[in-house]
Amino acid sequence: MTEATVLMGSFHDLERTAETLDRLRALGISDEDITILSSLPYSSRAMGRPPIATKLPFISLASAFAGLLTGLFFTAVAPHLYVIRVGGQPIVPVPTTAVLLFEFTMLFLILGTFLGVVFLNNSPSTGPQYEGASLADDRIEVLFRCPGDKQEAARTILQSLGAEKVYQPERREL
Amino acid sequence: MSAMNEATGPVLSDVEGPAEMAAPVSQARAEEEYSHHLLLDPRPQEEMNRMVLESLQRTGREYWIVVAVLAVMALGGFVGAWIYQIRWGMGVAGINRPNYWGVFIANFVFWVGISHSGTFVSAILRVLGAEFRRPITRAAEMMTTVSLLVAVSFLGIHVGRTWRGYWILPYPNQRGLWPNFRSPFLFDEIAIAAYLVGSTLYLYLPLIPDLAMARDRTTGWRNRLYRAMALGWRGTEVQWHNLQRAIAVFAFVIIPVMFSVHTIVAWDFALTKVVGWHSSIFGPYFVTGAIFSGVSAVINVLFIARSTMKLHYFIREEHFDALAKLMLVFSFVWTYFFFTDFFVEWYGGHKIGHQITAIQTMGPMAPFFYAMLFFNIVVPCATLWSRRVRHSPVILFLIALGVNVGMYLERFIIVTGFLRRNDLPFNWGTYTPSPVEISISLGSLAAFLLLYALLSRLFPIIPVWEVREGQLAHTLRRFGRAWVPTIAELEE
Amino acid sequence: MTENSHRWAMVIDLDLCTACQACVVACHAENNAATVGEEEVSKGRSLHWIRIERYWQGKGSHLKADFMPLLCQQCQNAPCEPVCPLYATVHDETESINIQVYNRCAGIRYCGVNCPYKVRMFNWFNPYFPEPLNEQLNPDVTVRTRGIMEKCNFCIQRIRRAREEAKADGLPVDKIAVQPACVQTCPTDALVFGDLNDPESRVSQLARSPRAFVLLEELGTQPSVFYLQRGDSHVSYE
Repeated sequence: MTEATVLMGSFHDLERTAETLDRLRALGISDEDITILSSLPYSSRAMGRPPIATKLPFISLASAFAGLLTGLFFTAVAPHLYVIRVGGQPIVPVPTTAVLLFEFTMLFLILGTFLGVVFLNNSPSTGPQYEGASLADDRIEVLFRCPGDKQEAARTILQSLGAEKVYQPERREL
Repeated sequence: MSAMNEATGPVLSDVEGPAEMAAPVSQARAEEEYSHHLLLDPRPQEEMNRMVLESLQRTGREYWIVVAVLAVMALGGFVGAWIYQIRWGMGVAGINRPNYWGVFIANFVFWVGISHSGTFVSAILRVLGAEFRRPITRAAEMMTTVSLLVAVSFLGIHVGRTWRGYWILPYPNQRGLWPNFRSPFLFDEIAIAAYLVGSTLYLYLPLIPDLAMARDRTTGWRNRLYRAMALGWRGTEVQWHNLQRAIAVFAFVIIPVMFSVHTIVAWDFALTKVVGWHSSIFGPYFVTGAIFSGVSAVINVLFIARSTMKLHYFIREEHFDALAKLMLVFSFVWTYFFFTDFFVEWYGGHKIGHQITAIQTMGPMAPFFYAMLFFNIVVPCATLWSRRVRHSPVILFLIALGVNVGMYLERFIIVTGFLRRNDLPFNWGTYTPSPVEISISLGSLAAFLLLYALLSRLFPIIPVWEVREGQLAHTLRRFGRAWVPTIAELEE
Repeated sequence: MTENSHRWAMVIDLDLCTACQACVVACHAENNAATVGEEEVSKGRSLHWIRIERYWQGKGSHLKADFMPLLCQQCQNAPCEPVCPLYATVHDETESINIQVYNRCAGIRYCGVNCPYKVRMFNWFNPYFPEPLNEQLNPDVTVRTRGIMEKCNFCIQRIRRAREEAKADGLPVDKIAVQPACVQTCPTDALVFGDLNDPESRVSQLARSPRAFVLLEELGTQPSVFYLQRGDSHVSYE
């Protein structure tokens, strides 16, 4: 790590970016050392990258389950804490319970998914953690950790494929 | 191609001689022809972002005058009248026995209905893959959040002891009581909470990349605001992947929540023993009405936003055309449910049921009833089949305004009309909205417009990345001698 | 049903009722129910927990009124109860009546909407008791502020007092005798009050009469107020 520097190339084109990634991989730089920043979503299939595994579905399901439990508490447990009979209905009527279980599950699912995605998006990942130059344009930026001996070759690849900028980015706080 | 021609015999062009129709269209000319479609008229993202940021910061003198007027109406008519009502009591409203619920509840239902606009446009259209939703989702979702806030405020307004209204929230308290979860109002509370949280977060999630864009291009207080709200967005592959998964989850989840919310609001009425309200069709009837009034409200808001914020590049006639078609379809569906409800009550209902239908067709509700039918059925069905009408934003604005009036009248008739007639004729009564109620209702409209005007200048109203994504997916390809638009499915 | 519980009921004999409205006045006096004034009553905002409702029949010299006292029917399957989100109206298991808890009420008025008899009253403004009426207020009953629903509760304060006195005197609680204010005041004994759990009580016997009916029976609310048809039965409900 100490001898590896981080290089960045900025491209205007999906095709050239994918070609760059292929060549970098051929050079021996692994996918884990590469971060791609873009102003538009590109699927990992389009980039030729390995598919991304995400914990988001698990977080969503866990929150939904938490919602179900909360709903069960309010509809099935709470009425028994202080029993009040209303309108000749049973203490835990099935139809009202069903409606509320659905709504509580949805509420917690929604909240959990949002908090999950915010948490996951701010968690560190394997590639270099640097801010890109500017997200506002149609540009894709490729950041990668490059060991000293491969730097020259990497710079050649980037420039030959028409990267707009090739440089070592500074670490900047967001 | 030529092999096929030989097999089928002489080609038309051989028989009729050289004709213009055989001349192939060049790609450049095809692109020009199709450039009135937003997604086939690409511009650099840089330029689009600049347009959107300009519209954010375009707050001229007229804008501030309008905001000032709306603020006065909202503060005086809405907040002021409400404070007056809290001080003196519900008696300043026109409600009485048997009309215990009046215009405030009608307003509540109306605003919840308007809130269905956002979810329909951004969630259902996204799930169905309707590309015309791309530039309009955020404007619609902003409407949802603001109208839900107004709707919730009406729940507070209609409560006799407003200062005790918070008891309906489930929290451990010294009364030793959880609220009564068997009451339809509690279904309302949790459902509206789920929907409000859901649609606000659904507004927020796709906004994050645009906030990051705005963060990088503004200074001062705007920069600080966007920096905080962009939640550290850098645009990495992993972040995009998670964001798109989350948006997909939201889109799927918020659709059943949307249906359930207005069904539950309808059940505030249907679960009672009130004649005319106790109808099993109320659930679907209200949901349809909500989508109908929501789509119309989107047309209204888009028209105003487009003209005042100069968004003519993004919002084009094709979007109004698509929304107008939706308006027509939902006019049909609403008519179907309305007629079912009315007809069943009229034909097979008991004595008091006949009173309910008579009070609409011949009684005090008759002017509102016929106006409602005119705006909801006659006007849309008479005009929206015409392509010229659908491509004219001004006419659509007026038609949509009429639909909103008609849908408000529908709520008004159901809430205030049906309570006037009940099982025991000596309990029949009348209801006239008082000046306080009218002031609060108009003030709420001002509050909605005010909040929307402020929000639309705070956050980028067009999701540029979604529009650009759509433009990447749309190309022209040859199909025989013609060039046709093709849509690629870019998402994983 | 717990031990020492009652099933209070009222029987109203429409043959004996003269519509003198003494019950209305007595109820106002006993329960601190304010008089709202002529203008508010004309808007439909009276606070009469018991009221005489009437239909006019005929014309001119043949004009007649058919009337009946109407009060909270104390339904066993009360539609007003499940819709209150705050448990402000609940079913009292020991007395088998529908009670209103003023402190919990926030004035949402859902109960009023759902009552098919429209016997629930709302305090539209703060009640005003002009001097010296404020000295006549019953100390056993809360004075309600604006924004609270109220209705007849079979003078629960009298029932509770009778219970406590019976316990204090060591007498059996299930045999207490109570009369709400309206029953006590009625000059013709048209109103009879008692415990349906006791099959020999006058109320039980009258409730079994072939003249007995309940209002809006088809709604399934199971009221505790029984009416006895009058002779020319204009207000009977088939």
